[in-house]
Formats: sequence, C-alpha cells, structure tokens
Amino acid sequence: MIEFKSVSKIYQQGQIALQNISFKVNPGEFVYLTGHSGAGKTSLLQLIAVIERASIGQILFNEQDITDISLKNIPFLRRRIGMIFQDHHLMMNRTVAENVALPLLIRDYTEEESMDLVRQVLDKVGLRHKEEYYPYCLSTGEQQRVGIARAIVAHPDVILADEPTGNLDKGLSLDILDLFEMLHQDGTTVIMASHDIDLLATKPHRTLVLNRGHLVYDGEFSQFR
Amino acid sequence: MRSLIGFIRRNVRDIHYVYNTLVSVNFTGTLLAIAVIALTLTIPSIFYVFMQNFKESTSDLTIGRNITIYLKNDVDSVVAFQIKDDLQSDDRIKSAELITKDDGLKSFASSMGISEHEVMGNAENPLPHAVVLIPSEEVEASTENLDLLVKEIKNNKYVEMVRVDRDWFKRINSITDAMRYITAVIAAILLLSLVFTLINTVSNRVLLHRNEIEVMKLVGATDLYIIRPYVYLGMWLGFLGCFVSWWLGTIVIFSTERYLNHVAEAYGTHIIFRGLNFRELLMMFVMSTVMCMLVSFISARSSINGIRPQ
Repeated sequence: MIEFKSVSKIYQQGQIALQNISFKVNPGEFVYLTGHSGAGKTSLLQLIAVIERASIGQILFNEQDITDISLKNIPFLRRRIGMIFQDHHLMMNRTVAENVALPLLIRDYTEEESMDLVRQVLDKVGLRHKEEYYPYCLSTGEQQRVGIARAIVAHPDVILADEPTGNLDKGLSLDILDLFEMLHQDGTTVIMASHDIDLLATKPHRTLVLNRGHLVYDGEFSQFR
Repeated sequence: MRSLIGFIRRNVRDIHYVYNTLVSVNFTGTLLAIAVIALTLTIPSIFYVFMQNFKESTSDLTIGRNITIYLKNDVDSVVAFQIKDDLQSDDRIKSAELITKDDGLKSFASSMGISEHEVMGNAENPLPHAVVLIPSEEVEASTENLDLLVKEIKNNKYVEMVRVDRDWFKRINSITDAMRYITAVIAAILLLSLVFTLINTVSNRVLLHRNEIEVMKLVGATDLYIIRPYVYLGMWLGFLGCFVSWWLGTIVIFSTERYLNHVAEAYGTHIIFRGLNFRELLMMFVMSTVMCMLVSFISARSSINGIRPQ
C-alpha cells in the first residue's frame, strides 16, 4: 500500500526532518507513528499526501511512484487519502453536513447522493443530530469527529491522522481511538501519528518510532515498551 | 445526460456559493468593484457614442463636400451630358449634377440681381459646363480614394479643372480621427485600471478564503474546481458593471444633448442623439463579461497556485 525506500526530507533552510527512512504499510493495517515533538511524524505524513516532496528516496502508494508526481495528479492522489489534523481544518462558514460533503462534491456527486452518504457517516461518528450546526457551535471533540467524518466519507484507501487527539482530554481521545479502531475493523488502512504513548497503549498496534528524523523502531507496540 | 445534469447542478451550486461566500461576505467591496467597472466602461462608451453621433450629423452636411468639375469651353452640351451620365454610373459617386453654361450664367446673374443680358450684352457666354459630384461614403472617408477619383477625372480630355474642398474633408476627418484616437487611448488606460482593480478584488477574495482553499486542496479539489467560483464572480462583476455603465452612459448622453445642440445650432445643424444600438450593446456586455471572467481566472489561478496546504 505505502512504501518508503530510503527517504530523506531536508528543508530549504538545511533542516533535516527525515533521514533514510524505509518501511512498508500493508493494506488494512493500523500503524502508529510516534516520537517526540519534532521527530518528523508530521513530515512523514506530509510526504505521503504530497504536501511536501521527498528530497531523496522513493515513495510508493499502491505500487505507484508518487515521489515526483505531477502537480495536476496530486488532487487525484489526495482523493484516495483521508486526512485528519489536530486542528481539524474545518470550514467555519459551512455547516457540519457541508463540511463532511466537501470530498463528495469535488467528485461531482449530486446533493442528494452526498447527503445520503454524509448522514451515514455522521451516524457512525455520532453527530447525525448536529448536521445543521456550524463547527464553531461544537465542542473540540465533536469538531474532531466532523474532521474524521469528512476523511472517511469518500471511502479513501488510507487514513492519515496527525495528532488527532492532541487537543482532547483522555476520555474523548479514547472515543476517537475507538472510531479509528472501528474503521480499521472495516478494512481501512490507518496511519495515526501521536506522541501520547499511554493512549496508544490502550489499543496496541504496529508502531513506527521516530527520533530526530531517524526511524528507530518498527514493530509491535508491546515489544517497543 | 447524467454528466450534463451534474455539470448544470454543479454550476448552479457554484453560483449560489459565489453569492453566499464571495459577494455577501464583502458586499461593500463588491459594490465598489461594480462601480469601478461601470465607470471604466462608461467613459469610453460615452466618447464612442458622441463620435458616432458626430459622424452621422456631419454626413448630412453636403455643402463644401462636393467635387466641382469644370469642362473645357469647347465641350458642347451633348458631351457634357454624356460625361455627367458616365460619372453618375460610377459606384464611387453618390450623385452627379450637370450645371450647363446657361444655368451657370443664370445663377450668376441672379446672384448679382441683374438679367443675363445685362451681364453679357451681346458677347458669348464664357462660362464652361460644370458637373457637381457628391462622392460615396467610402471615397469620402479615405483621402487616398478621393485623390484617386480626382486624378481619374482630371485625366479625362474634356476636363479643364477639378476643384475639391479638401479643407473641409481634412477638418472632418482629422476631428473624427482625433476623437477616435482619444477614445482608444482613454479606453486603453481605463481598461488597464479595470484589470488591476479586478486582479486586486479577486486576489483579496482568494486571500480571505485562504483557509477554505487549503482545506479544499487537502481533500483533493483540483485548481480548476477551486477557481470556478472566482470566475463566476468575475462574470457577475463584468455583467453588472456593464449594466450600470449602460444606464449611466444613457443618462449622461441624453442630459448633455441640449447643450451640444446649442453648439450645433451655431453651425446650422441639429444633432439627434442616439445611444448604443442593440449590436453595440451586446458587444459591450459580451466583452465586459468575458474580459472580467478571463482576468478573474488568471488572477485567481495565480493566487491559488501560491497557496500550499499545511
């Protein structure tokens, strides 16, 4: 599904974010990406979504080389990825339903088709009753659920979650993790970046540990601890 | 069929989106942009209308635009009529009138207030036959064509002299040319200001929606999808700006008609003003709308290209 082959990322200022990273994520896997702040977790996820480009190495997505993917093909790659962020990236001037429907509308779904799928997915994240609300009327945890609903509504091949529980308390974080677990059970590939080791310990999975841009561990969570 | 319905729905949705997010969010800014477009279009269109009306009004003034051909003294009236008929059949000539030597003398005597006999006594009439021509509009509009016609007439062996009131032609043509040039220069300058205003308006709207555009890019929207609402915004600005300009221009033109006719009366003429005709109006609407769409597309594209999701 996703394969990194000796990938390095060096920013223009000379700062090395990732160095010689190699790993492979198989379809349907749930992978944690952890490490201290500045370890390179976000950079790694950004390389998969081509928000940033690799300086050295090769990245494969579904066996397609995306290292030098052309600008016009990037949107079509991103449609196969559901992205979830710590700060949700929601449109505050659109309702919950409109936010969730966005990935469908850009794929030319009709309003009716979109709304059917949006309601299904809002049911899944427990926000069906708030579809007409604006995001600023929701709690942080609910906003994150909207972000998750938007990421999964178009059935992407993989979900990339960058510190999705960063702003949430323990209880809400566990709820969100349960949601990812549910998606994983449905067969979706999930890569979740988090520095919260205690949270990850509640539902252990394969874990990649980054330290100052180096991949220092790739294995089962229990052995890492 | 399904894709066509999808296309129409998407576009209707985009137009709705344009109003909800791009127009209503900054309504004053939108009104100002429409006002700038309207003023930019009004000034050259007023000049254009004045120029057209001036051209039409002066086309009625035939005095002094004539070409007078004096035939040789020994040319008899039969040949004179033949020459007049030949000239009359030429496409480049609107009308030809023969003034025989007798008519000429009669006219001269009448202008002096005496009889023909008192002018000439028993002497022979020394006046030649003359043909007065009014050239066609194509010839009139071009000095080169007029010169060519005069040259051809002069080459006729029966012709003694050809007289053209070039000053009048030159005056009319130079005034029209100057007005045309001034209109073009003003239009170009204002058009440039319109382009800059529109670029600024669209760029500001893009920046205002920066976060939204970042999200759209992250979920896989293509640049064309993101640009489309801004192109619609340009379309509406161009259309409404042109609409306002049309009314503004009409008010200005007809409110100044009275004053300009005071001037025209001094030259013994009257100007009936007409605004833009349907064809000209349609062209103005199409040009304004298409140009604003194009500028919005280019401006939005370059602004959106610079936005990278984080």
